[in-house]
Amino acid sequence: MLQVEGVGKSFGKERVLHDISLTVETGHTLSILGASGSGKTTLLRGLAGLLTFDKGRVNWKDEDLTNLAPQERGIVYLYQEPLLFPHLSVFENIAFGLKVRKETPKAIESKVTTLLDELGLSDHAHKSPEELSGGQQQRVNFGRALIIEPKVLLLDEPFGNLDAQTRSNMQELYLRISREHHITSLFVTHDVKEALRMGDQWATLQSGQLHSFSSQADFIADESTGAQAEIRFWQNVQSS
Amino acid sequence: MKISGRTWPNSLLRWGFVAIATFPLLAGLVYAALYSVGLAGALSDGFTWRHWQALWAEGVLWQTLGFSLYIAVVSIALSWLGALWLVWLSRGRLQKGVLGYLLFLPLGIPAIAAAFFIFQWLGSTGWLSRLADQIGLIQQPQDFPNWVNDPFGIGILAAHILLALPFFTLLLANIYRQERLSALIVLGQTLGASTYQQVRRIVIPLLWQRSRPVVLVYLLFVLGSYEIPLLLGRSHPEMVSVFVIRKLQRFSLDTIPQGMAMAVLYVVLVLLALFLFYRKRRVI
Amino acid sequence: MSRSTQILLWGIGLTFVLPFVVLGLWSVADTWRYPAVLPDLTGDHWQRLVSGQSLLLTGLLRSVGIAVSIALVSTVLGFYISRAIAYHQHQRTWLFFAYWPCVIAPGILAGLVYIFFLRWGWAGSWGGVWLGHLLLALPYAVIVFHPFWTPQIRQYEQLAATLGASRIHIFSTVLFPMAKGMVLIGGFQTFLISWFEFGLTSLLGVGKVQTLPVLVYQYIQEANPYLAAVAALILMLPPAVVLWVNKRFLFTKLV
Repeated sequence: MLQVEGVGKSFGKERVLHDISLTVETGHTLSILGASGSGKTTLLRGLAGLLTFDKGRVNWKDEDLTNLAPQERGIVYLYQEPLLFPHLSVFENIAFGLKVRKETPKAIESKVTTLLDELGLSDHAHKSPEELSGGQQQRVNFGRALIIEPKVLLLDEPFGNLDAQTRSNMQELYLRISREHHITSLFVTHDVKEALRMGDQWATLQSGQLHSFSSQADFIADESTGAQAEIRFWQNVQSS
Repeated sequence: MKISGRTWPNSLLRWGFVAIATFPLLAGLVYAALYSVGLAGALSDGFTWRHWQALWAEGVLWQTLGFSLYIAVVSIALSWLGALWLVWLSRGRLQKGVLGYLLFLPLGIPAIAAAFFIFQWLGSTGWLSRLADQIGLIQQPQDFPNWVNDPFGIGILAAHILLALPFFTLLLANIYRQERLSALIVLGQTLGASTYQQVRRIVIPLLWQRSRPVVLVYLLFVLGSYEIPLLLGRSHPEMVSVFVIRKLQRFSLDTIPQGMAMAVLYVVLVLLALFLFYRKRRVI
Repeated sequence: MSRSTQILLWGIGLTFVLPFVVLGLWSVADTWRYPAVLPDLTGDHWQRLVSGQSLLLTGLLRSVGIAVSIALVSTVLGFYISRAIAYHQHQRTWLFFAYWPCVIAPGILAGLVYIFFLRWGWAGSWGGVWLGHLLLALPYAVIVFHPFWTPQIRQYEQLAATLGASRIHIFSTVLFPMAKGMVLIGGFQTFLISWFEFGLTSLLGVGKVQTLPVLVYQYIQEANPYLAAVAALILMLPPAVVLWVNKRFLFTKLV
């Protein structure tokens, strides 16, 4: 389980994160509802080790990750853009993390083939990223992260650039894959429905302050999440 | 990996770079300034404006800077206008086919070879002169017009234009396509613009605005050019580089301070121009 | 395009071939007295290059050595330095310094640093000339590579890091491959800066360091247009070959 205790970050005089603590159970997804400017990128970058928190600790089970370099953490941070390496094929993109770990070509071949199959990308293995659609690119992006079996996956609005239908398909795919692979993740989104759908645990991040909810019902009941406004909207539509 | 840009290897790289790229130049500039007022160098005998006054009094200072500026402005202006004309005539379709390759050829000619070619082409015993003789236009080399080592720097201008005209043509043709000028021209036509107005109101302003940074850098490049005026110029007036290097290379030590003074003035002016321009623009 | 326009454009285009024709003729001319339009031909001058009877062969080899090593060093260093500059919050100020050596005439730059080279015993040596060329080529490389370092490239770096790639791995398998086109262009342009350099070389080399451009000048001074033409044509060969391979290598927005 991922445990974050009292992390904070300031840039100059501006306090971007205040004493943030959170716990994500192993195999769970924590949905964090946060708009841009809420400090979500800083939080995720800090957890990935791409910047140093001013204070606080990050633990995985009994291991202290706080001062580890990004390479040693096993926490992968995925941006909104799929950021596939343009000079590598789909297969090579997914194999990237395995090559870094100097796995044998045979092991790489079999792992990547299995995962491609699972992601429905077998036919595209030797295409270059630019030949793929937005949804396919995002799948390759997941595959590239999943294959190294990360402790934690950090997702920063991963479906923000996709059209509604593709977005819905990808949410489904991610739910399936994350259950099968037993993935622990933080899923940041500004869409309340997506937050509800993707999470096992829920929180909001506003102006650098994190508020965790003990249940889905609490999350929905809280005015700040916008879930109530959404419910009223549909009730109004129905009643008028 | 911290990628904040403040880690020590990055600082080392930045400061190391400044130590290589900027510091020698700056130190040399200070030394040259001291040299030019008699405070440094083999013959230094205390502070004096003597060398600056000598430059000033003989009018050498303004003649040298003025001649350099004249060459730079005239060769760039002619090249730019020539390029504009070519791009307009061809509607920006210059980069394809054999013609495209021909335009690229001069970009691979070093200045020293360009100067040598102009000498063998336009000089009094050059190829044109030989042709003129063959068809009976002239009787002897002396009859051929004075185009090399001449007072107006015609040979120097020709060499610079040989290098700059194709460069600007490619540059403007690029901009022409990038900015979709042909579409804008059609738009202008539908709004009732005459051919003259299309060129005057659409083509020239757009191409000028987009190519201005490159024009400035190229202007500074021609201003400081050395091998072309060295081979094709006369001993008076000289361009800045030729003057400075001749003064510094002379065996008599007492010419050096004048060379230093000129170098200081030139460098300060160029850096000032760069600064003023750089400050205003995001991209140079 | 009308027919007359086409003829005009072709006329201008063919003018650009003339330097190659005229210098080519001189390089194979036995004697070429005024007012002959064409010379008597000979292969002697090129033979002198190959047989090593003149300064040409050593000049060529040394020019190649300097220009290739300058291109390699300034490209690799320039790549790293441009990154360090682009990721700094005051990147424009740092970049400003890179423009200084690029806008000042190389000969005058040499004049300013000459005293230090003299004092430290570098003047007139190959090492001194090499260092002088680096003063010109390195800032140029930094300017050429600077636009590569966009925020997106930084995200690629970070992503690769979280996937477990080391610093060296990131450079060798992500950044250099992604910048390949730019690196090749920058490499060739810095090669040309060194390959064509004359003013700085002649001043810092004190006439002792005879690169090809210096030899062209020397042969002209010695009234030997034949060998001057051979040397000049060798100088024009690499760009012509590269042009044939890829036009982009010769043309960048910076002069």
